[in-house]
Amino acid sequence: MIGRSPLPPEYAEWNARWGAPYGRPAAQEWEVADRLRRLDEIDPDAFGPFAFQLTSDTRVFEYPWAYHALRPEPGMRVLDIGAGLSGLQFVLAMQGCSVTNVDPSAKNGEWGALSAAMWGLTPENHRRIGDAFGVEVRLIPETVQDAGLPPESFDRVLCLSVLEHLDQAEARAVLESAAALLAPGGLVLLTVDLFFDVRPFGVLPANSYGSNLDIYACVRDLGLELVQGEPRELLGFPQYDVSHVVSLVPDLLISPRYPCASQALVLTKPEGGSR
Amino acid sequence: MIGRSPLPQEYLEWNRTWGAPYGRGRSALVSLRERLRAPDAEAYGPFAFQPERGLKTFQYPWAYFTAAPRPGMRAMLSGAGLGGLQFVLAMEGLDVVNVDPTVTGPAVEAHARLNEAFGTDVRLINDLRETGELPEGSFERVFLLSALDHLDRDTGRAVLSYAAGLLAPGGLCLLTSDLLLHLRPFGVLDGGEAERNIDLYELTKDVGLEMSHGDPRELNGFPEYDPAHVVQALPELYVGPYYPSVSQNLVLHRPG
Repeated sequence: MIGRSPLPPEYAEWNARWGAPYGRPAAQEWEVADRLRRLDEIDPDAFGPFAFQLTSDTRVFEYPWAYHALRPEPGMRVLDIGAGLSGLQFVLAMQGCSVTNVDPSAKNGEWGALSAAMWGLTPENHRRIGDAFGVEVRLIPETVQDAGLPPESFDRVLCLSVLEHLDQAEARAVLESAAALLAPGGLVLLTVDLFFDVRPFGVLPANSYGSNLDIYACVRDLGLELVQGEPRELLGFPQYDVSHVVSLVPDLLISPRYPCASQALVLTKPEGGSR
Repeated sequence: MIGRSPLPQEYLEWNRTWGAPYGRGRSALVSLRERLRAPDAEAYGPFAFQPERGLKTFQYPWAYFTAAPRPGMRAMLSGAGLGGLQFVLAMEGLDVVNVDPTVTGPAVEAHARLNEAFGTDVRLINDLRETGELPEGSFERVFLLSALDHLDRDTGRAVLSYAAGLLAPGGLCLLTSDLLLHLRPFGVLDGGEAERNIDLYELTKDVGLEMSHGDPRELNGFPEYDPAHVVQALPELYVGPYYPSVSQNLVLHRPG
């Protein structure tokens, strides 16, 4: 499926409850450039868990969609790929889930230094946010491929608006790892940005943020089955229909700050192997 | 013409010299409020006080070099906000007026603070009733950098006609307009009031100015406009890094 507008009431209520996706009003009074200082003066009640990461507007759909599709339960083992300092990992931990965030941008080095300066993404800041909300989320500053996690050790794997920033081969490698780490009966929840300036909808081959990935090529033959998601709306699937997507445009949630929407799907690893 | 990539070397050097278009050093990591309050606000550079979406990387140096400013020239910028070009021109000895009704409240103080920081005396006119004080034919240069894109056709023509009247004979109007690549005919979105590709031919015809620089094949609305040519040229075009757009640029002059 592609995220629609207006949001379902339960999504809007969930966003209001958690201050998603930009933080609660008190956090939004701070200028964007001040977001790193919020980390020095964390006021968990006033800011909410979503106050610490710059985020795209499609997250207004993605976070509540992912939460409701994930159906968190205490003790559930959740892997969040590329979560940075985003709030969902902390919300899930507050619900009693055991959450692991694998994000190579938190690594030391040139890219890590840039992430630290621009985004505040450091292991120390990540820990401080967890402490402020009274939860512990494990941060592994590696790619999921190199994280060294045991096979089939997660009940849920989240990967929200990460893949479109990668090339096709790396996106596939991420999902191969996700499939291997997922326990039988578990769910992989994906959102992938759909850029309207990029082919097949626009004239650009890619933009500064990424490209329109062939999702089907990323997920096929991984032993996973699609359980939520409309193949006509998921780029690359055999049933994908560009003209259908174009006809949906008036109903889609399109970011006002960049012309993109959010493709969302849930895959499961069948008990006893894929059919 | 549409702005090309890579930028000419002199554009790159100019951007480096002035910290255009985003400001110098750590500007992005310091809030606007703090930058304005800083005792050394000028250290951030004149371009650190107005958010930009990326095309100004091309537009500012293009406008500067095409205008060939000289000390003593009179320049009017329309809709310049707190943008840096007005201060650069003033620092180089031009007599500068910024007509921008959107600069109100705290932004007026900010504009005054920037004049102080850069040692300039840019006149801000935010009450359009005051524009009547500007004598006709009194400016050698008028800058309309993506300032008309959000106006409806009639308002845009009214602004351009007014600007044309302010130009001295032989004076130049530097005009840029963003061409949005996700809107038809390039993409599948229709846009709307707030976001559209304006018809530059309708905007500029019969306002008393003649085009002296610009390729009609690359200017939306002109009879010669050719979207297929634009698409073909894409690999050479400077595409905004933060919004899917390119910059259409033209120079109009008032016949002597």
